[in-house]
Amino acid sequence: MNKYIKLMSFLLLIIVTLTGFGLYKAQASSPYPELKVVTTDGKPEYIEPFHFLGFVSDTQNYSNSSTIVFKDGHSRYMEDQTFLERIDFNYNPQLNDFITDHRSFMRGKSRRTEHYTETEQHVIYTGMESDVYWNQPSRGLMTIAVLNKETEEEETFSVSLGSDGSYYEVSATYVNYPNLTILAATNHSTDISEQFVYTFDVENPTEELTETINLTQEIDSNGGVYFGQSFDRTERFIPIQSVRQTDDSEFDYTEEIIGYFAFDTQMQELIDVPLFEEDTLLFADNDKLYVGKDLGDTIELHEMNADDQNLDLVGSIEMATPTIGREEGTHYNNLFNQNITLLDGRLYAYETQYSDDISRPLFQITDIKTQETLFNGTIEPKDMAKHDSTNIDVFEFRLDTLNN
Amino acid sequence: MKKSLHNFLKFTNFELERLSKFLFALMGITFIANLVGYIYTPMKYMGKINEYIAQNSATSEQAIQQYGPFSFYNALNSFWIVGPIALGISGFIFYSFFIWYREWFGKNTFAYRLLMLPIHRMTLFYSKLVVVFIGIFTLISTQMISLFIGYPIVSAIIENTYYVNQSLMEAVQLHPLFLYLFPLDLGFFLTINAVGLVVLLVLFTAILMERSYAVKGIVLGIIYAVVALTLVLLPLFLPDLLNNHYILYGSELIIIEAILLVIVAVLSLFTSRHLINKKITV
Repeated sequence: MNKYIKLMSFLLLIIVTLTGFGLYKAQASSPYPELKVVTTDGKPEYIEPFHFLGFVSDTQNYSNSSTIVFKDGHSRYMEDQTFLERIDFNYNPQLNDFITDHRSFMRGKSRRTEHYTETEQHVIYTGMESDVYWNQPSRGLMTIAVLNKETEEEETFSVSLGSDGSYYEVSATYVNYPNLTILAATNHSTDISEQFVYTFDVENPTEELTETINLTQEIDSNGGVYFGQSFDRTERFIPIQSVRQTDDSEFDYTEEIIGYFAFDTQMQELIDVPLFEEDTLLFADNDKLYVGKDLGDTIELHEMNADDQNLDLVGSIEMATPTIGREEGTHYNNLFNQNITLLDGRLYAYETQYSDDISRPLFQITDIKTQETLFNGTIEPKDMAKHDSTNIDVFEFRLDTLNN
Repeated sequence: MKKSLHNFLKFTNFELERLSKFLFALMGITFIANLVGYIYTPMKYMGKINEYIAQNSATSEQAIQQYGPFSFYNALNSFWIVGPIALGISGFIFYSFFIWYREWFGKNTFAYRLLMLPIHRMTLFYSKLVVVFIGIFTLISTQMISLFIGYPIVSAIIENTYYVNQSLMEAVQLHPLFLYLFPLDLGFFLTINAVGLVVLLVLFTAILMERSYAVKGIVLGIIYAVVALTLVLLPLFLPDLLNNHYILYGSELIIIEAILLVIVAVLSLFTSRHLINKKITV
């Protein structure tokens, strides 16, 4: 046995050290702070529909940073996920849920949230062929796939938008099953991108999509046409914002809102929305259209009659800060109202707050009927004494009212 | 069975004996360089802080603003820690060749005696493979032990005002190099080691090809390595072949890769077995 002493010693050193390290690691605390929901107003359970991906970082030690998933009122660091979970992780909360719940349906489909619409019975995918394989010229083919969540049956259609080689970009698809209203942009006839509305009937499919309206021409916008952020897309109306672009220099331009419109997916017509002298906000919720007068500390919310454009005052909603949900930002993915929305009778707003260069997300949920604040609060480290230099930034969020 | 295990242990011990000087040298360099890093890096930082305060009549807050606070991570990120790791990695890449070619050095080649022994020749192969891994893991263990020694040294040298109270594990987890070396994430650690094992098997097979067929063997060895690499990398091109970038999930790709690695490993073992038993020339 003595002749193997060196071999035994090396093996013992390896086993003891690796085991010791493993035990030490198991008892050592995570370098990332535990987070808690801080409720200023209302009840913490109302924050559950807020589902977001965030970035937690330390201003004193920037390498001490990690991605966090906040879901159902609880947070989980990416480091706490298993190796394979992390491999399949998508930086979008909705797509992560889809991949978990409908893995087979999601295979071969794009990873852009605007290509999906979820209802209680279905998940609908509308994406261009070029969205899943961009190494070849566009054939103008759109894949429409419908998953029945109950039976797990999938129906797929390949429809043409034209074979002139133009690229199309799907902005959103609204569903009033079996009718789909698809918003897509292309620049096939002009240099600037034009927004089109197409319709498709899942139960009476056609080989080509039916073009309902060229929004850019109809609105006569020289700049951009943006759509209201919707986490549901089963609403009857699609809020539309029209902007005018003014070139400030060769490299820079400013945008000015010149009008609001709503597209009625049932009547297939464009409705002009009256503007307030103050900043105007436009929302759709279920089959209703709401227009808000932004007064900073409050939003005066009106329900709009689509037939005569008359406004009925719903109430005045007190906002947590004069800017929450209404910070000027970019129109990422051709969307406006990115941080404020109405869903099932509630107003959801979000903003990043800074205090001594430390950022925190601020959330507000208000019942529009009663104007009662259901939740107003933030998320911060549990141990503030130890983690007072921790930043929490939200970079992708959704409202998941179907599961909450 | 018992006899072959005994032979395997005997050869592993023999190979380890031959590796030990090289290994002790690497362990010594790691320990000494690390120790220098744990003392020199924080002292250099404190020296800069003291000099700044003295020259500018500055407060400690101003000094922190100028140089930032110091944490154990800063010590880990120094040349004195990273350097020996790089040396260890390159040392074992070199040793993986040397462990075979040393047998053919000199006039009376030792390989002749080894291959004439009445044992399974693959025992030699497995012993060399295991010894390389024992060496790598011993060096990893040395690095781990060194961290536990260095942690209190660094915190003792840096004054509290300038020290970021970061736990040892926090500092280790933040260092990208230790993610590959230490079992911080078991799945990742096993993957890295599995890939390392297959690379070593392919390398050993290529070396045996060269030893079996001389110049022709070099070409064969290179072709074998390229084919093995192509086979392992093939799934990465599947999305292009199937005109869809989302046809496979990342986890599925990992599982396919794992299966291909096993195939390459088994193929390498069988090829090596054939070469060492039938083709190798002394």
